[in-house]
Amino acid sequence: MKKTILLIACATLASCATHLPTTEDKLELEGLNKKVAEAKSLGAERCAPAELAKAEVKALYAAHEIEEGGNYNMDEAQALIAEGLDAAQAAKTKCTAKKEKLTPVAKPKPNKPKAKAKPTVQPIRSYTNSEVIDLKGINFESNKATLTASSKETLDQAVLILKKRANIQVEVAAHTDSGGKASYNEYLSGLRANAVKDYLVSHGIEASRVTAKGYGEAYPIADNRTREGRAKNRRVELIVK
Amino acid sequence: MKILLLLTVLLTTGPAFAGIESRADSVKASVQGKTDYHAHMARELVIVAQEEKDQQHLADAAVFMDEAEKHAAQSGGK
Repeated sequence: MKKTILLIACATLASCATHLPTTEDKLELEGLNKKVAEAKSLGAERCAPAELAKAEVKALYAAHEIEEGGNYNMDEAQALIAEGLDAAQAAKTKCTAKKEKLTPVAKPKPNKPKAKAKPTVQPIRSYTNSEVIDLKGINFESNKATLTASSKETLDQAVLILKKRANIQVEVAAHTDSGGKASYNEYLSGLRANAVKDYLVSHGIEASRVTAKGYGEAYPIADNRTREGRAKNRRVELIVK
Repeated sequence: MKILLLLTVLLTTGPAFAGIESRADSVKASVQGKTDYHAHMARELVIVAQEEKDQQHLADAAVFMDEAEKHAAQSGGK
């Protein structure tokens, strides 16, 4: 009898246990706040007020849930963050579309002698207009497609994001710097994109939701003449389709 | 004794519940038909306040309702 009472008491206590907010939850909330700020900077108060308000209030509510401490409900906070992210993305998409619509078509100018174009760095992410999830911290062994141990932490975050946003499909886009032959860089980035895809799939993401593509050195985001620039250009991103 | 306790709980929480509901109705009415940012913020915050009220978190509900009313006022609706 005593044992039964003890067992029931333990089970009751276990069911009453609450989760404490983790650093991951706080980081995700920071990510949402960043997205809200980005949407605001695009003028979302005017071009997407409903979506912005939804994202902002979800962020407030999630922060409130996380700060509640003892009454913290992890699933609830994560669901709020996911809904907020979707709303912030919708606001950004709406505002970007409106801006493109409003941009006047440039009139053809009379022929002028053209100055010789200087080689420039291509604009960031000129290869896509979709949402891009940066996977900062992914590194490979030199000239190989083998992920370093430190990269796995970032990839685990990506797995979490994809599990939460179960309705999105992504392309793993891998880029290199401009060192070496362009054809080799394209080949190597393809292998690296596939290595990332394999990791995501092996951690529970459906293969049908993920494609992989190597872009080689074609889309730099920084100057390849400096060491820092080259490090920035060697990157992996998830493009939301 | 039990009846006395129940009556006390009812008398203390009852007005707070009713207060949140009537404030929610007032905010909703003041932003009805408006589509600006502050009107949307007010509506979203009212939803959260009502959720908190449903979970018996009356103090939190009141905080969210305060915010909702501030936004409703900025939208020119109060």
